[in-house]
Amino acid sequence: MPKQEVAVVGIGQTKFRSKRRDVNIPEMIYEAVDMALKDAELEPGDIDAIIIGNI
Amino acid sequence: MDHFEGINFSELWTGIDAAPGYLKPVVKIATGGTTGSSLAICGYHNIASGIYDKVLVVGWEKLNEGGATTGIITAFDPVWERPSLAGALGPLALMAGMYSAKYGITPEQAAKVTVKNRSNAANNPFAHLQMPDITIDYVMSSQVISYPLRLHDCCPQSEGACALIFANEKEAKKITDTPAWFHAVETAHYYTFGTDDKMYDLPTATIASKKAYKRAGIKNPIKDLDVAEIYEPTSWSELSWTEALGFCKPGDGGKLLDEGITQMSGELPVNPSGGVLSTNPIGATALVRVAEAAIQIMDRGGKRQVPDVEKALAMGFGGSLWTEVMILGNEPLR
Repeated sequence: MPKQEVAVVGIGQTKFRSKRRDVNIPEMIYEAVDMALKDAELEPGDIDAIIIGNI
Repeated sequence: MDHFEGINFSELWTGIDAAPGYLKPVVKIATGGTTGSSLAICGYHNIASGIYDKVLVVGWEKLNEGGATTGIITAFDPVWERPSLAGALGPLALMAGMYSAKYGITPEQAAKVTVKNRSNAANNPFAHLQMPDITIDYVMSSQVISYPLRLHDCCPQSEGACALIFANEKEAKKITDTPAWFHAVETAHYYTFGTDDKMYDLPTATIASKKAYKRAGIKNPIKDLDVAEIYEPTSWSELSWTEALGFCKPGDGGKLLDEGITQMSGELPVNPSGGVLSTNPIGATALVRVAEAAIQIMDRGGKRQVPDVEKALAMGFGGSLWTEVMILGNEPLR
């Protein structure tokens, strides 16, 4: 059993395309991160930890 | 993984520069196709354990300096598997062929999955391949990639990112009136030499979904779930995996689709977002399933919203025939 219940509270997605030549890797990721932070009305300092990955 | 993007230690670029990881714990996860769902499950455990209050979970893909198939080939046994099963499409074509032979599923039924999902994608502003006017003939007359898979039976390769914020109950209630609560997260591994495997009926999906349903109190997935976002790399896989997830009996995936149950207007819409057949930013793909399940729970889907969603399923699938299943709900499970 979880000690704490867990919920999704903020969501960000970029547009998905065959090639995103308009942005580099960090810029592309930041699009989604910024959208999720704004969605939850949080600042980067409010986040305790980052879980990140690609294939 | 470094092979895929052509850069090493990508977490330095991405976890600290792009995501706000400076002076914070940063964890990098790479599990192939399931990367996105593994990220979500890791984020879940970080909150569920009581260690953290709020975590940021990010999946991404930008392959223009690397190559997916080049990377995937190195994961397979060099003697027994590389000649026949390396890459993504070889095993998926074998799965489709054997599934079709076993149950009499037709190429028309597979094409119908692509038509459903890419028309759904036209309602999703983030989706890569939005094709509102796509037809069965269009799919069936596209070029053969690896028999029986045609071009439009296959998912694309997409670039993009998905970011989710997970929080515990106290924080979640401060942030939003409509959190999407995790009711179950399950992972099932399975691997044998690919050439020894029967290659259909995805056993890990059955194992993981049965455990998840038990945990979430789901007795009849068709009735108890309101929407499912599943990881279908090919049209044939969606038919097979709706069976493996217990939405119907083995061999009835085509019938389930023909009866309209998985359509937007059906009893259990599958992939309102357009699914993987429409959008496949590999390391983000399974996290997008979680995002879209949460969007449905939060009633924020716009034109792709299914009415009155209380429970949603999200699925990840990856290279070692590995499945991850998550159930989300509009209330905490308790």
